[in-house]
Order: sequence, then structure tokens, then C-alpha cells
Amino acid sequence: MRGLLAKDGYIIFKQLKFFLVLIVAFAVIPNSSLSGFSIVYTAMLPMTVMAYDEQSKWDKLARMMPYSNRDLVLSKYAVGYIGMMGATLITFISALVCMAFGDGTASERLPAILISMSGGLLLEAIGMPMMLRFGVEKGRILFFIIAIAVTIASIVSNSDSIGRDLHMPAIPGLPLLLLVTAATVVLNLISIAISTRLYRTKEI
Amino acid sequence: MEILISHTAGQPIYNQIYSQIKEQIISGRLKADSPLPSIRALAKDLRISVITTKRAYEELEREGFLYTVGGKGCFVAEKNTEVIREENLKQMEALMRQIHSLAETCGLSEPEVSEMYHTLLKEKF
Amino acid sequence: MKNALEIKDLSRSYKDFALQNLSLNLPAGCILGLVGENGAGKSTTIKLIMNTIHRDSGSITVMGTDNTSPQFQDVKQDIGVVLDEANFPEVLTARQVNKVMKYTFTRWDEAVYFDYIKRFDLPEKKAFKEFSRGMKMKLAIAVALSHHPKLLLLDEATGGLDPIMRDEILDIFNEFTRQEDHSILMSSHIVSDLEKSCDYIAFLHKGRLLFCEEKDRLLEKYGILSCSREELEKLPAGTVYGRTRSSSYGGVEALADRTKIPAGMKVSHAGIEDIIVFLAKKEG
Repeated sequence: MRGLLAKDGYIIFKQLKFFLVLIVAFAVIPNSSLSGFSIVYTAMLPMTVMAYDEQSKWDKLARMMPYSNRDLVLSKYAVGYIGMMGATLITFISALVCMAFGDGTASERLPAILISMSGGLLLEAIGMPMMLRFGVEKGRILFFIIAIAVTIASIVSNSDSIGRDLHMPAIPGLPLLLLVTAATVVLNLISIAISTRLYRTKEI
Repeated sequence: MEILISHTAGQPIYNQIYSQIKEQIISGRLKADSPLPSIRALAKDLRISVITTKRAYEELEREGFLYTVGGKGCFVAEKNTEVIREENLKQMEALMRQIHSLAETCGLSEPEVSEMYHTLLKEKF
Repeated sequence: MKNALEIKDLSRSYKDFALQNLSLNLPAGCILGLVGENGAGKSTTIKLIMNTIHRDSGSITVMGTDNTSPQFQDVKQDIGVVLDEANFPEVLTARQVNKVMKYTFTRWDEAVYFDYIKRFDLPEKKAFKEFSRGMKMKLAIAVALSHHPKLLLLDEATGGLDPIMRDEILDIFNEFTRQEDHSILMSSHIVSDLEKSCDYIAFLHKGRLLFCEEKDRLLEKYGILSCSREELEKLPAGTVYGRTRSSSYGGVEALADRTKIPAGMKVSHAGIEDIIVFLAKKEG
């Protein structure tokens, strides 16, 4: 799988430099919503990489190489996970730095991180099987729909006014957040299993 | 060992190899017990099919012109005088047939042909 | 290992095409040329061999291993593949491909790879999308040869290359099979390339295997007969194969078995391309 990740790495750093810069910038800027975008958008990295693969018909060749179907599927998810972890880490560090400089609101970004991560993981869990089965073009549409929905949810949950109207605590409790995050992790495991099965029967 | 292959001549390639090697063994150019290139090496060097060189070698082995030592390869067999005599007789027969058909074309009778032969012998020797 | 490839009764059907009961063997150390028109089933066969598409029936054994078994994953380390259109993502460079392949094949040989890159005159740091079709092919061939494979599967690997380059590549394939456990299955519609380098020729036509024969025996057996129509009709059955080609002046050309042609008739050399064209005409 290292080979596949190396290939994806080359594609990302070559072609998606602008995208990466945006992600990093959003992660650094002290704004919960932007950090949210950043993390969620890293979940879209796999999709973009898959588009380049399809252009060269790489899948046809890759399947004849000693990669297992599981490797081929897992590496795509891994690209998203690694990206999300990177964005999360940058956001986290940025928030800590801000807090060290006395920015009080920085601590609000922390729960936002968990929400975004859940959102990103949800995106992957639902979007990836679609794309692996139906190809990038069709899966892309669904992916975007979900991405927008999750982004909206991320903004809403960070917005105090709407939170007050709904009589929700401004920041959801940590235990609940952790539960939600754990749930999306589980969802991902299921998603990977489904994707692997779908990919096995897919003919290229 | 020298082998020249022609792809456009009517003669099958395995036959070209077979006859050329045989001729060199009979003429003594290939000495007894000298090693021959492996079937595969010969094929690759001549850029022809391995199956074909194998066929040529098998025929040569069958007729006693070469022998195989397991693990070591193929070697030229001792000149088999019996086989060579056989070969030469066959060649003479073929030439005689040719003479006969030519004689027919010219309208020469059998005694006239024998006359020619005797005259030739006396002149040459 | 007797056979590098054993295919028995392989069948696979699609909506408007079907590969039917294909059986052929590739003995170890040999080069088999798969020839056929576009759509005959050559690429389908290669995909079935690598199990990237699933067969309806039949069996495929690659170097002794069933290609649907889990052990086949390891066998893939010994197989080098060159496909017609599929290749590495276009943004990669030859250097980056090296890194990727290093982590893919256990016997990846960097020195051999860069040796081929140099030999084929390929730039190391340019992205593929700037390569010509021929250059992309050469890179794919370099990759296929650089992990010490035992079997090469080549799908139209010489298309898009100029004659000089093709000759060099065929030379490389010739050298590859100097070792007796190295085999090649190559599909092409450049019949002259196959005629130059193959031990066996298999002719696939509309999903059916019309023949799989030793190349040299094919060249020995067939000749092109030129005669008049009356003479042709007088020939015994089984002398002539396939359709005949007539001129408007009463003459015909036909593919014939040399051993069955009566003496005195005009026979000329039949190349593999001739054989295929005449036979295809009949079936078609």
C-alpha cells in the first residue's frame, strides 16, 4: 500500500498545491467555521486523486499489479484520513498558540474540531463507496451534496444565535461529541468493508 | 560454427540448420566431441524459434550426428563412417537421377552416357 | 514448470461479444503471439488471465497457480504487464514511478529500470502528459522488465513505436526468453512483429480461436497458390483453405497446403499475415 500512497502523495503535492494551501490557511486562521471547512475539505482529497487516476486509466493497470483489492480501497480512505489528521493537527496547534497569546475564543475551536472530524469521516464513509462503485463523475455529485450539508451543519452548530433558539448548549458536551466521532469511525469501518466488496466485483 | 538462415528460400528453417550442421560435421569442420551451442542459445542468437532449433538438433541426434550429456549440453558425435557413406551414396543416387533426366532431354542412350563417363575418367586421371 | 500459462475452455460473454471456449497453452520459455482484429478478444483474454474481469466458465492456470486462488497475488510479482491504454497517472515522472514501484514489487531493480530509461532516451523528471505515445509505451515496457518477472503479458506493446524502436524492443523480448523459465504472451495486430519473434501464433477471430500453431510449421505448411478457376476446382478437398481471391482475368489466389498441391502448380511464400487474412475471409 505504500506504493499507492506514494503515488497519491505525488499527485496531491503536484496538482493540488493551491487546494493544500487553502486547507492549511483555513486551519491556521482563528475561526471555527474555517477550521471546519479545512478539515472537511481534506476528506475530499481522495476524490480528486481518483479523478486523476481515472484520466490515465490507472485502475486498469493497478489491478494487474500485486496490490490486493483491500489495499487499493484502503489507500483511498487513507489519503482522506491522513489529510484530515494533518488539518486537525494544524488547527489544534493553531488554537493552542492562540490560547497561549491570550485569545479566549480559541478554546471554542476545539469542539469544532471534533464536529468537523465527524463530518469529514461521515463524508468519507458515504461518499467513497459511491465513487468506487460508480466512478468519480457520479460519486462526485453525491459527495458534494453531503459536503455542503455537513458544512452547513458545522456552521449552524457553531452559531450561537441558532443554538440559543433551539435551546441547545452553545457548545455540545464533550461526551456527546466523542460519541458522535466514535460513531463515524465505526461507520467508516463498515464503509471500508462495503467498498472492498463492491470493488472486488467491479470490472474495469 | 557457421549458420546462415534464409527466411525467404523455400527450405524450412529447421532443415537449413540441420543440413548446415550436418555438412560441417561430415566435412570435419566441426570436430568430434566439440560442444555445440545450446538449443536455446542458438535460437536466440539466430533470432529464430526455439522449437525449430530443437527440431533440428533432435533430428541430428536421431541420425547419430550429435549426442547430449545431461546438464552439460550437446556435442558433436564421432564421425560415423557408415552414416557418411550412406549420405554420399544418397547424393550420388540423386546426381545420377539428374544425369538420367538430362540424358533423356538430349536424347542420349545408356551406352552413350557410360562412354562419356569413361572418357571423363581417362582424361581427368 | 511445464507451461507458463494454461487456459482451458475459457468463456466470457458480453452483450454484443463473446469469447467462446478458448483453450491454449504457453509452454515455459516460449513466446506466443496473439493476433486478431480489433474486438477479436485479445484484450479480454489478457484481462481474464489477470482476473481483472471474471470468467463465465473454464480455468486459467498461471505458472502453476489457479488465477482465482489467493496465491495468485504472489504470482503477480512475477508477471510484467504492458497495456495498450492504461498507464501511470499523467502527472508522475519517471523518477516518481520508480519510487512507487519500489514499494510495489519485492524484486524491483532500480538500476535495471534507470538503465532502460537511459537506453530508451526517456526524460527522468518530465511528467507523462508531456510524453508522446511511443514514449509512454517505452516507459511501460521499462517498468514491466524491471522487477525480474518470469512472464510478460503485452497488449499491443509495440503499437505507436517506429520500426527501429520496435526492432530494438523485439530484441529485448528475444533476450528475455534466453532463460528457459521466461515466457511471453504478446498480442498485436502488427503481424510482422509477431512473425519475427514468436514461437507460437494464436489467431483469435470474433471471440473464437481459429488456431494456435508453431509459427515455423505454419510457414512450412501453407503457400499461396496461383492458378485458374478451373484448376482450382479440380483440386482435391482439403487442399485449399479459406476464401479465394479472384482477379477479373480468370485467375485465382488461394491459401493451400503445400504438401497437397500437385507438382507444377505455381506456389509462392505465404507469410503469417497472408495466412490470417485468407483464413479470416472464410470465417468472416
